[in-house]
Amino acid sequence: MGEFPKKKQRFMMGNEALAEGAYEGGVAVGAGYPGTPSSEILEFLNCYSGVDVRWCPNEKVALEVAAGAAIGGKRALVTMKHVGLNVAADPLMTVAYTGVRAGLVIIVADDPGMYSSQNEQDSRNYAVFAKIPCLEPANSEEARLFLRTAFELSETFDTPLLIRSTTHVSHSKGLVNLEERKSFPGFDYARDANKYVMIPVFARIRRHILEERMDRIKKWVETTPLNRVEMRDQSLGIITGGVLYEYIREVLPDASVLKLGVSFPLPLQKIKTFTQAVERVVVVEELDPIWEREMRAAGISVVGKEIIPVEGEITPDVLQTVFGVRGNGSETVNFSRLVPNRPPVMCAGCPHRGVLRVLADLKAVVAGDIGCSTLGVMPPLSAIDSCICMGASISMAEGFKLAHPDLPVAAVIGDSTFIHGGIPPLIDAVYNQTNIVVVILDNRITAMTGGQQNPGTGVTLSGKKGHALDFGDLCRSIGVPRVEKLSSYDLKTLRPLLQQAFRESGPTVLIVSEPCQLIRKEREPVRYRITPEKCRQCQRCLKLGCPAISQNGEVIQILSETCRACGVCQSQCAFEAIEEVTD
Amino acid sequence: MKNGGMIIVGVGGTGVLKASDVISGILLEDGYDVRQSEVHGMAQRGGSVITQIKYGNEVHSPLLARGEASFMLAMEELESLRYSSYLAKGARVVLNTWRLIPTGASPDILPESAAMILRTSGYQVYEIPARDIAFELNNLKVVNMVMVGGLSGIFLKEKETLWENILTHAIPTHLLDVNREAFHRGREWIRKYSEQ
Repeated sequence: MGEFPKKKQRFMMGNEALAEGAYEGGVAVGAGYPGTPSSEILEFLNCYSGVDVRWCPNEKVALEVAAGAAIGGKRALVTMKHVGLNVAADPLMTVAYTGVRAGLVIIVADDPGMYSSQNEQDSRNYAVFAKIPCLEPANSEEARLFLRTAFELSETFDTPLLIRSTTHVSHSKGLVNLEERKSFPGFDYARDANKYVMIPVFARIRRHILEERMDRIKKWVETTPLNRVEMRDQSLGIITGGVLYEYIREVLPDASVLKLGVSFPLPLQKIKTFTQAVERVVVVEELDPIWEREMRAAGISVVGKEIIPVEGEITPDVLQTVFGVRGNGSETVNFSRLVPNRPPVMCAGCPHRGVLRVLADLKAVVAGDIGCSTLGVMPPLSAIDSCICMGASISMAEGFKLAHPDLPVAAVIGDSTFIHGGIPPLIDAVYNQTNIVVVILDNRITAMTGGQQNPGTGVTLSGKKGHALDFGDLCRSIGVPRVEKLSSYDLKTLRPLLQQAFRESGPTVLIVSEPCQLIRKEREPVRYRITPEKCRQCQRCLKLGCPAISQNGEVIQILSETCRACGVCQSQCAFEAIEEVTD
Repeated sequence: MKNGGMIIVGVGGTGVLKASDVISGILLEDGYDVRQSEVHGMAQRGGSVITQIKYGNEVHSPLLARGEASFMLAMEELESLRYSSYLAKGARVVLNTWRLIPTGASPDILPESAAMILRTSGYQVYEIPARDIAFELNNLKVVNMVMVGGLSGIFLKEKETLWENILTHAIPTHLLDVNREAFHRGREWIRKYSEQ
């Protein structure tokens, strides 16, 4: 985009710059699971040659693949969103003990403000928890630079290294300088059981080395240029990092700044010196008061969360308010109250819509999962009762059934999410004979994050065709007594199947399958239209919440250029008022 | 080179990201430092979308504060009101006259004309029937380039060659002709509009 040849500078999204930096840093293996705002990193990394890049079923698998590669001797990168690190926390806590041979870098992208997430946990806590260093770039150029050196740092200290990004580092663009890739041939394989087999007797030794290593890292953070003091006006000193540094530079251009490129462990000596050089110190950190607590514990007196919000995204607006800076904002208008909200909605023709409508009509308790289908919680579908984390629909449905054996209980889960975290819960439902209906909404793609391949499609991140997981075979092999496959649009078959399944004992799996509208290349040659003479204004079609159907006064219409001809509205109409028309 | 800000607003799927890339592209070619923020993921699914561009000698933040945008490009009429608090005093708004009523909202409660409201507050509004123009070109996906063309009539107006170059680099070859045509129609529309 706007990219001209022969330049050593490019305008890059943070995620692209992270990939560029990893490439320059000599990465050989990249693994991850898609999750906003991290998904593009591996997609960009796939554009470089000499790197083996892959999507894994989940973040735990991805981290383990990368850890194996690094311990085996190749520099490895693993990417995920913040909640993905919860899934990968198990290997993380112990790879911190073993250390690495070649560099192992974990990029975790946090989502303050929850643009596209179910929580806004602060991933820096994992660095503290696992006792590993954490770096936080502020912009695209730093994203490249930090990644370029991260693998060597990881090798120097023999530790996995965490890189924390946030939405507006990952998804903002800035100029990036390009450099050559460092040559790193890798290390030969060398067995070292004392270091990599964490049985208690060896782990106790590594546990001690973990502390020694942290002492060495604490010395390094005092001198690394990644932590930088910028002295300006000495009446106010700001300690900050990540994208907040950029906001501070705009909002308080005269303030002195200690910019922390390493957000754990802290350079406490450097911080002490800085606080002595300025009259008043404010710690500006997003989400948890991690730095502030550590500084106070070290006897450094700072102001922090008394004035900086602990929740939500910190923006230039927030900082202007906190510091009483009168920007241009004092003279602005705000007409947003005049327009109704426009929340994200399921696309016209989305294969999830009709299935959720039928479940809501049957008054089922519906345990939902992560993905586009969660959008079905909003009216008019109002079809989802819970959404916690990847795979939880099936296990929570079991719990709902235990609490209320008399209620019809279903779980809805997308194809990629099912593979990520739905299989052990389904085995549990079979093993413990829980009478739930599991609906796998198979739209042949990882949709919400922008359409990534997954084991269900059988196509890899690099575009190679491999084995496509057959959900029916999988379910039967783990002993699901009844497995049915049907089209997501075939609601006339779905409804009686569901009614019957709710009465049966033991779990039933319904695999409803139609491709996501975002991956359908060709439009159907037909559309649907409402015949005004036949329409009785029952509004049944409107209850689908389809963006192609709207009511204007007395008239209900189908917007022909939006309609994707899925036919779900036609199957809902009791008066045969919806008919097919050809373009 | 004065620091400036611009916002591009619309509904997921209306080409906001592509338009932003083209605009950042020309700013970079013209020698500005540029930061641009985007929103991906869930927010894109037909929801309200905003990207922000900050430019100048040296810029830091990819996000604008309220009142910092001297220009707004609105791909959908109502969205111009939603993000109006970003507008700087006297800001210029290139407004697509197309209105997409939010799913489930009653048309009766909506304001009659966003352009009128914004003008009353002292903003300069340039209305373009970008969707109609794109419809004439048989390609609703080029609405964004009609709008960018419109912007080029009031922003970096004299840099015609640069705009041409940017389009050539930003648009895949097989789509270049229709996008270029869309751009010129938008530019021409604003030229005539400004003469009125």
